[in-house]
Amino acid sequence: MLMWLDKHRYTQGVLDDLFSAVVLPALEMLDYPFDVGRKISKKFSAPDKSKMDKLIEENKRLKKKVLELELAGIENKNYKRLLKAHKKVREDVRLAEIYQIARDPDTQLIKINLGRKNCVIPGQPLIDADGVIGQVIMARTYTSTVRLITDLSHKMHVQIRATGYQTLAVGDGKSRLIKLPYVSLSAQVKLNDEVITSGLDGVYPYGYMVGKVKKINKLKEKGVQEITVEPTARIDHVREALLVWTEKMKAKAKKQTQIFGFKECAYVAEANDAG
Amino acid sequence: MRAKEKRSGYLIITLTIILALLLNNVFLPEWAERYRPGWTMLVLIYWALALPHRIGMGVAWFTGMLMDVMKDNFLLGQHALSMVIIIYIVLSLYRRIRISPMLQQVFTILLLMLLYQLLLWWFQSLTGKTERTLNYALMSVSSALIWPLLYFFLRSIRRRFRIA
Repeated sequence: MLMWLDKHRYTQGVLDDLFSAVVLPALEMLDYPFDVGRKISKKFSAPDKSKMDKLIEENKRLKKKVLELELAGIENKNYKRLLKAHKKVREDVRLAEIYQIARDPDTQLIKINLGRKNCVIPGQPLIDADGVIGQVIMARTYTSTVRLITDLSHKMHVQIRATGYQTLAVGDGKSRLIKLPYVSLSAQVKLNDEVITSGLDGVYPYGYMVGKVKKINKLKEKGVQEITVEPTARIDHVREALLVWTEKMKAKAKKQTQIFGFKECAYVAEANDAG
Repeated sequence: MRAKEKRSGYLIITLTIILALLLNNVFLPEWAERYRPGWTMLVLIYWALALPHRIGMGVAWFTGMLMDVMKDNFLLGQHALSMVIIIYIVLSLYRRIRISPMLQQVFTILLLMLLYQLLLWWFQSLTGKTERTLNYALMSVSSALIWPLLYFFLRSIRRRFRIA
């Protein structure tokens, strides 16, 4: 009975309260040694911690910019004719820390330290300077859960950068790889081809790096080639990552903040100031 | 005096259970994750064996709920239900388990933990896709191996604080 209720998310409110009251302290406590470690390593590498944080965030932003610019260059070369009306969507990002607590070895979910109070909504992508990491599947008050792109039940829409061939990508679970199961035999794919997000799934904005083609398995009788992609983001070891808000998500987050009666979160206010 | 003594242990028992819950949630590297003993279940089994009149299915259910809330991505109530079932078995067999030699106890714990994992696995599979394999057996093996240590440790605590 209780499980049924939970499956259909009726217990969300009660769980939220319980979570922030009981579990959050425990979570913070368990993460504390790692946090101290992080802080110490930061202290040794630079004298000013807050400055360091800002620099790290700026660095990640800039790397993302470079990625975008690089992509824009290739785009211009290949699709200049097609992209007459292409408007670049501006996204906002925020640095999220990943909790170092026990992870269930059979599902690939992680917890980050931003929650609904920080305007997080389910469906937001989490990225790294090197590529996509995952998407938020549940936002609690102060924390949220992220499903990694390699999780068995994670699907996303991608395209191969060189040819523009678009297809579906499915996580492969334990192997920490991604599979493209529906690529037709006629599509040209080479090893080490870069795979990027296509932006068609409505979760990941267009043009983020996903991974590189690692293996091509041609299944003649099925008429498809099974392609294995290795993610470029260091999904297992990442400690800090960027949470992305697209324009649509910003609007949704704003609505959510009003519903839950939080004060306008700092994030949206910032975005408004910036114009 | 006697009544006072009877009430004395609650704090210690709660502390051990909380400690076990935390141990269950400490970050471990990927390869070690599979060998993590089921600390909470073991501690509950110990207390149910030692004090069957005080630690019963209610406590097991409550602890299981806490565990569910902590684990978060599990179905709410699945740890609770599994723990209640295991504690029920322990409570109906505690006289036999108590007097059996250590080696036999280890095997009993192995079976109980296997059943516990099996229940968890079953509840989990109700929710959808998981890639759970026979690997869950590893956790019950490590639990069984750690049992003698835990048993003597908790017994010394129980004697020290005269919890009865």
